[in-house]
Amino acid sequence: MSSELVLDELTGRSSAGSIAVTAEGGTVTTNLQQGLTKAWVNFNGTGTSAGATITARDSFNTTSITDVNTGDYTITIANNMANDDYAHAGDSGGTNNSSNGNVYCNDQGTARTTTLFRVYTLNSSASPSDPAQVNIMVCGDLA
Amino acid sequence: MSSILKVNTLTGVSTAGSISVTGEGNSTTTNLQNGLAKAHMTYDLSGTAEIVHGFNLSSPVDVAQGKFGCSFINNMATATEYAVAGICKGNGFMVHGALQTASAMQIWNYDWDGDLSDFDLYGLVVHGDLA
Repeated sequence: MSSELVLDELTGRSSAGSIAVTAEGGTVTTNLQQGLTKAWVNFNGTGTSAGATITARDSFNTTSITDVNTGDYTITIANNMANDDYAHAGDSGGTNNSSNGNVYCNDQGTARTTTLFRVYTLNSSASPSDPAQVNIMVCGDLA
Repeated sequence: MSSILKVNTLTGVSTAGSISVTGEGNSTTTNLQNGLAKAHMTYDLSGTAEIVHGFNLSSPVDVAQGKFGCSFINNMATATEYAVAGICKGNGFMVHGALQTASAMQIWNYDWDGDLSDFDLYGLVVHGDLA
């Protein structure tokens, strides 16, 4: 028999921020909160100058993107992460999918914080390059 | 006391496609639908092309060297706003973006000489809004 639960919010009973979910195989559980991506963003890395704010095409739990320099961006998180140990990954594409960019999610020059991290995009010659689409995803613990 | 809720479908009350989830630190909430990956795939081209693992993506179509196309089973809400991140095995990298629509996308893969190349293994994840 099918069942549907209609609700606005899920909170753990033993620990508010931890809900187990039976996994696809039916034998083990995974964790709902740990499995959720806490932030993601899709933005155009071209057309702005250093220091300018970039408007995301779409995003979740990010407040702003700053163009630091060519192929160099900082992303600000809306609801803070619990610590600076979170994982972020990304990718990028260019006009007509040209090979002018690939995200490098390192923190060179700026240590990541619970609210901000910095990413770099390089072209196939390993030179900084502004791609037409930059995508970033963040996983980890929310504050 | 532990409790188990058995249910097949979760739907928001105020907005069907929006459910808050208390975060790990117990002080803020995140959003269930926004946090869920809408598609992911591991694609093996080392022998017979096959999806090793896939969710909400149909079998890739070989477009040309270094290029393959994927169709969503359940479409995304818009053509340009979803986010894709992926890697390929070997000395290369994956790009995308200009040829994505709400129902399909092309993935192009380059070696570090900037040439389109086929690699043995690809992995990708998609986030964004479903239609």
